[in-house]
Amino acid sequence: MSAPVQIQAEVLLVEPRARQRIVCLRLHAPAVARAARPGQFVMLAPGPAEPLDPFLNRPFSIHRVPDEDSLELLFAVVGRGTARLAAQPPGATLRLLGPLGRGFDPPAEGPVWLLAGGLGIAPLRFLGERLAGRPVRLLYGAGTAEALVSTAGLACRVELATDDGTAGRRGPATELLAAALAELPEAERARAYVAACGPEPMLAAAAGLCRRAGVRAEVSLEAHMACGTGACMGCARPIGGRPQRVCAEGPVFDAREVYP
Amino acid sequence: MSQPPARPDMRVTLGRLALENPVMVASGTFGWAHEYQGLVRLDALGAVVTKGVSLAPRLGNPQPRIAETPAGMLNSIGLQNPGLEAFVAEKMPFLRGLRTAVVVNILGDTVEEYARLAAALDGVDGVDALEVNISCPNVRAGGIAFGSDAGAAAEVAAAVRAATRLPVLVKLSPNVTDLVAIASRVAAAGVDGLVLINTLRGMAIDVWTGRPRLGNAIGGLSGPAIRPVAVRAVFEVSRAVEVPVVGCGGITGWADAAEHVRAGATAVQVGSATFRDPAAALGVLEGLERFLGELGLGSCRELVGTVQV
Repeated sequence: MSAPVQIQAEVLLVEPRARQRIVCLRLHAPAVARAARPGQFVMLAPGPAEPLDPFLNRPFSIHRVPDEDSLELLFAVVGRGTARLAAQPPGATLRLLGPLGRGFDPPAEGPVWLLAGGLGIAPLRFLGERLAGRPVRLLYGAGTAEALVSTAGLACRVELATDDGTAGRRGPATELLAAALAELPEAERARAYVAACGPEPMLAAAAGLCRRAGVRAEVSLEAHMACGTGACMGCARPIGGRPQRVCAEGPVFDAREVYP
Repeated sequence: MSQPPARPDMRVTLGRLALENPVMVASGTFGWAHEYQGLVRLDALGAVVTKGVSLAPRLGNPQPRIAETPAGMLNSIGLQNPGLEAFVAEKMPFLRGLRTAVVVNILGDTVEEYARLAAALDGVDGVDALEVNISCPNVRAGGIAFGSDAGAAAEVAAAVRAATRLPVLVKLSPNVTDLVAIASRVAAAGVDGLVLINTLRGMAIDVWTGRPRLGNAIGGLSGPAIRPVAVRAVFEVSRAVEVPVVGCGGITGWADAAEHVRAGATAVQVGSATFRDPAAALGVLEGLERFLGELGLGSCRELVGTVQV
């Protein structure tokens, strides 16, 4: 893992990615983009010129590295910080710190499932792109079709699920995972790998399914953060019997450690 | 030909603690310093104040521990730390390699615990001073219980002072009725300086869920929102006591530091601002030095307490 850097990143593009106020922010950030690994995140100032309010930087998973000079972040416009970020014109500069944290650690070969719940798609798209050419399947669930982000351009099989049945299977995305694991031949289980990101109940359910199937799984956790660098202990919680910082030891953890 | 003006002398002394410059990073906002290696020129800081160290490890409070508030934030970390032994073994090797002063923040549940921490750290290579935390709002026992009573605060200060040869700073809480009375008693215990202020007790509620936004319900407020409270505390206390005062609270830029110094602070600590910009303290230092030059002052000391009331 390379050391994080702090830069002034230029806004290249802000565009909607789903009908439900989900936007993609593309930034010019060469030093961060080149070092970034799937599952890592950045801390982004909630506006140019050091606003005192809102005060804190926002943590965002790296959603895509479309080329070696830029990064894409995906977020829902839900509060003051995200509203401000979504309103930035191209050319605005935002203080950016990254890449931060420990990313996914997929095995060198074997089948891979990416399990995304809602905005949990954010880091998994990056992982899917980096694993292009391998047998990867994206299992992607959301409340409704309007909350699904387009997966166009992602070279892997995609299965959808929605709570209201407006797209894909009706029900939680973990049912897609349960079906996939049930079809997996016994001999393949030791080589298989699941990467999951989304609401904690989904992660807990996925961890249970993978444990019972004997499949290694990693989960990417969310937390309220102040620093993003491991200094403030704001995101620390008991994981594997000791306090671990989501920003520094994570955000990606072995699923068995988080949900024993 | 006129000589270029000499750069202002930024050195300051807090009792027996001499610093190359007056800008420190506040306890709890800078971890154990190694977290910022590569992002911040650590050797350029006036001092690093460590996260609070207790005798035994502490696990801290439940999540969430951070909530953003208007122009600031609430935290309820709960003094999570690895304990004295692990601190010395695992954190001090990096800290003692820094070419800046290392101030270890200590906290206990009893007066005796503070004294034991002070005695144990006396012999530890690389520790330049202690900062006694009697003001954390996030733990039940200890912490603020000592800081809100003048007699108890002075007792802790005297016990620490007697247990160590290291310079001793005491960080005081603003969550009291008569800060000057407490500060005066602590100063009289023979400490090298007072640090003002720790966080203000605060609370935020999610109106949709009806739940507090912190796992611990109540936390400590910091950030620009508290700066006027801190400046007032520095102003009142520095006029009432003989020992130097270190201003802490809401400093994000050089002008905020200059305000603290004008109010009476000999040195300053940059806290929550580091969360936004890891190098915030160095920006404060550079700006303060430039400001002193523009005022034509030869040293930072000349600005201390220059508010005209």
